Formats: sequence, structure tokens, C-alpha cells
Amino acid sequence: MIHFDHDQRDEGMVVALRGRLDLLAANDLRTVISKAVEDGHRLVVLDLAPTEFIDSSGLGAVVGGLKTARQAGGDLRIANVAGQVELVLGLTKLDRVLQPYPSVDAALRGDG
Amino acid sequence: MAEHRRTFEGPAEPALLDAVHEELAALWRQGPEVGEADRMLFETALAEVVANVASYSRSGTRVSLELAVLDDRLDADLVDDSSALPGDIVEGASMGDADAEHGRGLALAAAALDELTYRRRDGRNHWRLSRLRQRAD
Repeated sequence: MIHFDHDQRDEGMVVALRGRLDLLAANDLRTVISKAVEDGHRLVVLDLAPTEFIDSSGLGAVVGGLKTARQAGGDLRIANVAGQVELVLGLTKLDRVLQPYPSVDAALRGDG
Repeated sequence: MAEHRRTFEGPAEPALLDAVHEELAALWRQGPEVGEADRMLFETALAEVVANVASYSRSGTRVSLELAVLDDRLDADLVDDSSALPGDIVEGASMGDADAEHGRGLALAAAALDELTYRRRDGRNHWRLSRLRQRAD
């Protein structure tokens, strides 16, 4: 199960992902990111602090969200990566394309 | 030898993932203490294999799973009665391009384990996952 907590900030939309971002949640995340981009948010920040677990489907949805945001002239950033999420990003080497930011504020500023 | 086992059966469908996470949580609670990195990586690998089975099995497929915490390693044996898969499905797995949105699951599972094998035997698919436990110094 996953819950998306939205926090609209001046710089962009922050979405906290609470629970497991896996095969069961991946399509919901794609929808959430697409909606934020369609609503005109140039920057989407995924706060992964409350994310207990991520799998390759969840990661695929984040990569898809990054492409969606960039195709619209915006960006998607991830913040507060730790634990299992950090391990998986490292194993897949996706931390090279999805550079983790140490906090939501740093991600909003683009200040890694 | 100190060891702790759990067995589980269920239908091959995405909801099986939630059950597997619950089984692992119970295993960690009941068994000997297992290091955090070992738990995280084993759970990562098992979830990928289960997701693969749940996504690609024919309707009505049943899955049985045996989990074991041993002194030196963590094992999972997963058997399902769906159609045969390519024999080199594990060896052929790759992380793919950085912008790929699908297809890196089994490569991730293999990277998180010391052993990941797939065999077709007796009309069933057999997956074996094993991770050597890190020693606390």
C-alpha cells in the first residue's frame, strides 16, 4: 500500500511517498506525476523519507516521471533517500540519473 | 545448526507481494537476528522474483515459497506451476539503459544475492535465492 501526500510549494509540487513503491503502486505514481505536470508544475519533488521499500517497477515509474517532467520542460527530483531505497538506487546505478538531494528544500532549490 | 523456516502458498497475482513482505517481517521477528543490509537486500531480491512470477504466470498459477534463515545465509525456494520460462532468464538479465522503465527486476535480484537460479523441473518452475549473511565484526 502507498499513500501520496501532496504539498504545493512556490517552487513546485512536493509528493511524499508513504509505504511501498512497488509493482502495486507504480501506475498510481505515474498518474500522480503526469497530473502534476499537466497542472503546470515545472518541478516535481518526490520525498522518499517515508518510503519503506522500492522495487524495479517503482523505480521504473520514477524514471518515467523524470522523462514526463523533462519533456514538458520541467524536472523531477528525489529527496531524503535512505535505507533500502538508497541500496537499490546504488545497485541499479540509477543514482547517476536520479541524483538524490539531502532534503526537500535542497531539491526545490536544486542545491545538492 | 540454528535455523528458522517459514513456508507459504498462494495464487500468483500482484497481491502476493504484500503477503511476501508480511512473511518476511514475521521471519525477521521470529528468527535469529539478521543484519539490516542482509534483510533489505534479500527482501529486495525476493520481491523482484515474486513480482516476475505474479506478472508473467498464466491464470490460476499457484506459488509455494519456503524461507530459511541459516547460520551463514538466507535462502528462499519458490516453486510455481506456470509455463516454462527461457532457461537463461537469469543469465540474460541486465540492468538495461538508465532511461529504461521496465526489465531490470531480475538483474536487481541477482545483484542483491549470491545465488539466483531458475530451473524447470517436473513440470514446475523452481527459483532458488540465496544470500550469504554479512558477519558482524
